[in-house]
This record gives sequence, C-alpha cells and structure tokens, in this order.
Amino acid sequence: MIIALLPWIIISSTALLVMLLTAIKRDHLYISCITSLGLFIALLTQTAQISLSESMIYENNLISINNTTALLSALLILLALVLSSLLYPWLKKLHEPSEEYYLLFLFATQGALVVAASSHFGSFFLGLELMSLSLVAMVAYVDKSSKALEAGIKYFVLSALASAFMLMAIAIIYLYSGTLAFSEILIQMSSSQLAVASDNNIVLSAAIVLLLVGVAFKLSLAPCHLWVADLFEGAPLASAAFLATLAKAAIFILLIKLFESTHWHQLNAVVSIVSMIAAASMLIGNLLALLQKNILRLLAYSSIAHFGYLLLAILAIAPSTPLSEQYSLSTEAAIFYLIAYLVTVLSIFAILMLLADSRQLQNFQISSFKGLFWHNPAAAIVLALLLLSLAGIPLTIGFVGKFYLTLVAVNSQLWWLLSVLIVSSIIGLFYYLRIILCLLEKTQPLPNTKPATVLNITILALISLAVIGLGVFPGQLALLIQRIVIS
Amino acid sequence: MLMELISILLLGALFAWISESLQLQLPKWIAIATLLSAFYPLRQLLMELDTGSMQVWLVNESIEWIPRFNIRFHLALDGLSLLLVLLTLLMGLIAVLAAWKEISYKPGFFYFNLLCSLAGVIGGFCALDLFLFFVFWEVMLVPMYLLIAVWGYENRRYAAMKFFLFTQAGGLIMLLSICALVLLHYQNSGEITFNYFALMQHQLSDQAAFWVMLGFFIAFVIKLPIVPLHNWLPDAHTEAPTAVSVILAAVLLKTGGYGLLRFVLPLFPEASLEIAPVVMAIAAISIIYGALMAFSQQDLKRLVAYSSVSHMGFVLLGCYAFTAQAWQGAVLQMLAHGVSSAALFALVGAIQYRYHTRDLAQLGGLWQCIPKLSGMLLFFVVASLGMPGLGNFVAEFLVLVGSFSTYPKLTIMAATGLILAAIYSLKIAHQTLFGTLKLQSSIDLDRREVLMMLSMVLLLLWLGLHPQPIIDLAQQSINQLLVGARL
Repeated sequence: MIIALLPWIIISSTALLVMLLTAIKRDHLYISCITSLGLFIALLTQTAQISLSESMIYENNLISINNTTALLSALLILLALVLSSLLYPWLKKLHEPSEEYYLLFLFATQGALVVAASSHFGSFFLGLELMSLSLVAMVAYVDKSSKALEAGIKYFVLSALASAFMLMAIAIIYLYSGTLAFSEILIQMSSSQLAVASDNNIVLSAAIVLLLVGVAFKLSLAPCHLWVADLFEGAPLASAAFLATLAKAAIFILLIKLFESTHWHQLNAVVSIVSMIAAASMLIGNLLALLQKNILRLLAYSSIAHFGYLLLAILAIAPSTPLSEQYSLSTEAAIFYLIAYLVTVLSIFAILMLLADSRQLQNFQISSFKGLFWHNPAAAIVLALLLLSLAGIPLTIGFVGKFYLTLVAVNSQLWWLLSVLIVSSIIGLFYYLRIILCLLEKTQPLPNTKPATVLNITILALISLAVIGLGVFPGQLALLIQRIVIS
Repeated sequence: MLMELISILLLGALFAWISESLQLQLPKWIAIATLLSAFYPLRQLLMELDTGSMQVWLVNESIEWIPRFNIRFHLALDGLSLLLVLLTLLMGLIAVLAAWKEISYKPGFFYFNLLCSLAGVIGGFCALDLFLFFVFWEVMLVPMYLLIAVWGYENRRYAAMKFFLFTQAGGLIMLLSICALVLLHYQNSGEITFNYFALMQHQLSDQAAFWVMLGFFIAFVIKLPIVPLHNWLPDAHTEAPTAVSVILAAVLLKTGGYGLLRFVLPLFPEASLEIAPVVMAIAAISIIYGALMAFSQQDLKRLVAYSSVSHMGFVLLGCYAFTAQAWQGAVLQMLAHGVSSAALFALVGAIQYRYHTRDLAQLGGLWQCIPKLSGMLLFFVVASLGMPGLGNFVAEFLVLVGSFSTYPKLTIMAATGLILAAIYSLKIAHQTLFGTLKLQSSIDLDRREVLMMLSMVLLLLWLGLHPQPIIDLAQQSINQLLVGARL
C-alpha cells in the first residue's frame, strides 16, 4: 500500500516542506529546486512501479490504482515536472512574491492525481476541489493585472456552480444505489428492484446528465465552454498551461474510468447526449477558433475541439456493434490521443513562455508572430511542428493520435460523428495553417534579436524530439500502452 | 535500395537548407547533386533491367515499424513504380533548373521543401503498406504548401490554402477507408494488417466494398484532378513559382493516377467495374470541360493548368476501361503529360521571367525576338495537342483504342477532346508566337534552358517513336491488374 501511494506521499510532503520553508525563509531558487526535485522523485517512484510489477494494484474504498492509473499518473507528474522547471525564469520576471505559487502548484498537482485515481465519488470530489481551489488562486495570482483577477473570479464562480451540479448528481446516484463507489453502483442498481421500473432510468439519466454538465464544464466542452477563452487569455501563462493540460487531463481520465466501470453507455440517453456534446464541441471549438486574433484564445477554442475528438474514443469504449473484438483498443486510443495532445499543448505553452521572455509579443496577438521564422527560426520551426501536430499531419505525434481515434471510431461505426470529425478537422487545419503562414511572412529582420540561450535551445530540442520522435516511431509507446491497458 | 533513395533525398534537403547560411548559390548545386546521386541506388536495377524475363516486383524491402498494428515500413518497386520514380527524379532535375534564377529569396529553404516533397512522392510510389502510403501521401503536401505559400505570386496564400484543404479533405476520407478496410479484414481473418497483398486477398461484401472504394477514389481523383473536384488546380498553378508548377503538373498529379492503378483497381475490382460507366462519363466530361475552360483563359499559365485537367481525364478514362491497352495508355499518358506539361510550365515561366506578364492579350510576335524559346514552345504545344510521333499521341491513342471496345459512345465523346485540344493549343501558339510584337525583349533561352528543353524534347520523341520498352516495363503491372479483374 505504501508503495502504491508513495508518489502521493512524496508530493504532499514536498508541498508541506515548501510551506514550512516559505514561513521560515523565502528563497525563490531553493523552493523552485525543491519543487522540481520532489516531482522528479515522485515521477521516478511512479515509473518504477509501472516497470516493476505486473500486479501492482492497490484498491480500497476510495481509490484504486491499477496499471493504467499508474501510467496516467506518471504522465500527469511528468507534465507537472516539465511545467515546474519552466516556472523559475517566468516567475522571476513577475516581481511578486513567488514562493506561494509553488505551493499552490503542488496542491493542484496532488488534486489532479487524486481525481485520476479515485474510484469513489467522495475522493473524486475532494480531489476536484483541491485542484480547483488551488487553480483559482493560481489564475488570479498576478494581482496587478485586472484581466487575471477577472479570470480568477470567473473561474471561481463557474467552477463552484459546476461543483454544485456534480454534488446534486452524486446525491441522486446515492439515492438510487446506496453507494458512492464506482464499481458498486452498477451492482447495487441491478439488484435493487427500484431500478427495474422505467421512471428510475429517467431520474438516473438526469443525474448522469447533471454529472456530465459538471464534467463538460471542467473540460470546457460545448455548451459549457464560454469561460475558457477568457481564462486562457487572462490567466498567467503557467496557470493557463496547468489548466489546459493537467486539470483537463485528470477529469478526462476520470471520465474514461466512469465509462469503463459503470457501463453507462447502456443508457441510450447518455450516449446520445455525449455524442451531441462531442459533435458540438468539435464544430463550435473549431469554428470559433477561426475568428480569433489572439493565439491563447485560439488555443482555448482548439482545446474545446480536441476534447470533442477525445469523446469519440469514450463513446467507442463500449460499442454496440464492433467490427473487431479488440475492446482494449478504445481505451488505448483515448490514452494515446490524450498523451499526444497534452505533450503538444504543454510544448506550445513552453514556447510561448520562452518567447514572452525574449520578444515583445503584444498580448500574444497572432500578428505579432509575423516573420518569426526568419529571425528566430528554431522557435518558429518547433512552433510550426507543434501546430501541425495539433492539426494531425503525419510524422508528428498528433497524427498517430488521430489515426488511433479514426480507427476506433470506424470500429464502433460512429459514422455521423466521423463526418463531423472530418469537417471540423478541415476547419481546424485552416487556422493552424494561418498561424504558420504568419510565421513565414516576409519581414525586415529585427534589429535587436538576442541570440538564443542554451536553455532555450535545449528545451526546443527536447520538444521536437518528443513530438517528432514519437510521431515517427510510435511503436514502443503504442506497445507499452497496450500492455498496460490489457493487464 | 529504396530506403537509401529516400534518405539521400532527405539528407540532401537538409544539407541544402544548412548550406544557405554559407553561400546563397550553394543550395541549388546541392539540390542538383542530390537528385543526380539519387540515381545511384537504382544503378544496378537499371543496368540489369531485362523486360523480357522480369519479375513483377523488382525490389521488395520491409522492416517492422509499429508492431501494435502490424504496420511495416514496406517499400517495393514494380515496373509502374519504377517508371514513375524515374519521372519524378528527372522532373525534379528540370524543376531545379527552372528555379535556377527565379528563386533568390531563402533558396536553402526552397530546395529543402522541393527535395522533401520529391522524397514524399517517391515514397508514395513505392509504399506497399497502406498506413505508410498514407503517411507519404500527406507528407508530400506540407512542403508543397510551403513552396506555394512562400514563393508564389500575389494571391499565393489563398491558392496554397485551397490546395492544402482540398487534398487534405481527400486524405482524411481515404484514412477512414483504410481503417474500415483493415478492420473488415480483421473481422474475417483475425489479423490486423495494413499490408497491400494481404488486403488484396480479402473479399469484401458488395456494399462495404463500394463505400470503402469510394473513399480511396475520392482522394485520388481530387489529386488527379477531375471535374468537379479540380477547383484547386488552376489557382495553385497560377500562383505557384515555375519550378513548383513543374513538380505539381509533372509529378504530384500522377500520384492520383498511380493510386487508382495501384490501390483502387486491384483492391476493389468488382466495385470498380460496377462504377466504371459513371466514372468513364465523368472522365469524358472532365476532358471536354477542361479543354473548353482552357480555351477561354486569358492567363497563359491558367490555360496550361486547365489543359492538365483535360489531359488527366484521359488517365481516368484509361484506368476504368478495363482493357490492357487502355491501362498501358493511362501509364503512358501519365509519363507523356508529365514531360510535356512540365515543359510548357517551364516555358511559361521563362516568358514571365522576361516579360513579367502571362496575359495572352499583352503577348504576341515572340518569334521575331526570341526564336529559340518560340520554337520550343511550338514543339511542346504541338506535343500537347497530340501530334503523331510524340508521346502524348501514343498515350491518347492507346487510351481511346482500349476504351472504344468497352464503352464506344463515351470514347467518341472523349475523342472530341482531342479536337478541342488542338484548338486551345493553337490558340497558345497563335497569340504568343505570331502577330505583332507588343513587348520587346531580346534575351533568348540561355544554355541552361536549352539543355533543359532539349532533354524534354528527346524524352517526348522517345516516348512517341519507340514506346515499346516502356510498355514492356509496365506490362507486368498491367498483367497483375488483368488477373485481379479476372479479364
């Protein structure tokens, strides 16, 4: 048990250590190093667990950590580690007390891990609130900027509303099943005589819809997506990056788990609602992204679309008439696409953080990226590659993810959703290409271009290695995911 | 051998890019050297080529790539592929020569993109794993897009975007078809594979075959292009720089025809035979419509672009006639049109380089001041109208003879395209070469351009006077088609 929970213990104690140190003596560099070190050790223990044991399954009432969860937790910790390593130079420029940010960051990470591993509505809600409340503070962290404050309040109010929806849903589910553990809900429901009557299904479906509303809010799926663009634009970059990657990933992992363990797909109402959410998110996300002039807002809308794509994998988890009996394929597709998307988006944020460093980007307007290709080729090439990855062009990891998704969607014969996918991908391509064109625009060379630092070059090289390397040779990762999902 | 070929091109591309920072003249020499050395891996094959006792597959290379889906890096070469690979390399050389003086802005990146797209095309001509084929199919687009978008004329962004979106839409539909085909095969055999030969063995139900075939078909005819999906071609050609037009017309369009012969006809013989009458009608319409549109153009380059639509209609006509002669004609048409249209685009580019206009109303009487260029233009115009003794005549004659036995009425319709071709071809000659001289310029073709043109003249004469070696080389591939279609 200790072994399974070791990464959590490490992260929590790092958080406590950071808190104590901040109280005793403020030193930004120390605290930054301790945070990264703590996350690094947590990552090591987590990966060691995956590679060590076949039967590393820890279950109690509240949480269950199997191999899949362990893999995804490792992914989350890795993302947090990468993000934390970018924090130091970024926070240094803010001229704010920066030590508390690490504390919030660690708490939010811990919250995300709890959500991802929860197997009980109680632990799920606790983790969710830990994450969301830390995020509220992270979003509103820079108090000089009124936009950040606005974003923080927006997120706080709407997040509380979403939590209220979810609590209501959980209460109704408890009313019918008498349990809050995911795995038991189904058993209790089928054994109780209440469930047989048809009107119960309506109430139950309503509860699930309420839950989906909460989830859709957190994943910023249409029609609960209105907050996300303002938040991406207003929040400090690192907080926006956390929100776009870890926070959404944790909720999505939970969604996979819910669909896998509770068999809600047997309820037609739920399936059609999720399908509609998926189609609406793909179309609305991409269409609204077309209109954006700010790259952060554009990323926000594209993330709506990408989570819409991901819902296809969720819908494929239990197809009605599968063409093949590879049931694990859908989960694999969801995980692979999630990894591909998270790696790409985090890399984009990393580049934006680097560029904010070296260049005057007027609030990340797309027009301020004009001609980047000719005076900062390294950053521009990597940014272009990342955009191609988001667009799903081959030789990038994004394409492999899209291939997985298409394969499982065809397998489950989700034809009309696939046609929406094609149409919205084409729309999506349009605005990704627009940015690339902007990067390529002919301009006069800037007079005062600073030479790239070693750190920047290393980060860019690592990013392109991950995105192109995994795009050209996805074989090992695909096998790893398959092995873990099947076991 | 084929992997070496592709790696040589990619490495050369990289060197060309890097060399830009040393010296601006270096990239084009590196590009020429790369294309010449690309023949080196093929030397043994070409020396020992004996069309009499030839096997179907001259080269067959396969290594494991993504074991999760049993995807292999499978490249192979038969007569058809070899012909098209040679065409690609030769026309690549022509393109580099055509770009010699025209491209001065960032030449390194230009040749990088040029060589990358050629590598993608060659990969496409050799790939026998459907996933790999799809990857190459998409990969050749990105550099092509950049070539048009960065080095094109005034309206380049619009044209580049249109080109990319059209072909990408086709690509996504093909991806769906590939996934469906693989899963249907899995359902029957319990084995996931993207291998061409394995999938060819598989018998689909009529309905499934029709839909899966349609996905491939749409992707290929967009590339070919065929009315009404030809819309992107005139724009892309008009805006693209000369060298890119050469590649686009000579090589990229041929991937569509190749796809039909290699994938659609062998994988779905029954379904193809079933839709053949409709496709033949579309082909005939395309031939006539392309010719009529060509006649009504005022822009010389647009005129040649529409003539491509008309000529590629013959390829489609030949593909769906289901006779050996027609198939031979289609192959020859791809080669002959590749050479003649490349030459025409290069000449139009040369005219534009001298007079800064492509408007037929402003040109005239060129023969008086630049006789060499005019003579060449007359030769290729005559070739394009199908003069006996030149390659295009043999090809179109074979297509028409082959189709007449199966679809006489449609063939008669298509044959009127030849008359229309004479009309628009003579219009080019009449309006540019003869009449009163309107613009003065006395720079005739220089030695580089004469070399370029003469080599293409020789190629067309060879294709026209002694096409037998080519027919022999393609014969084995055609026989495979005949066996597949059980004719």
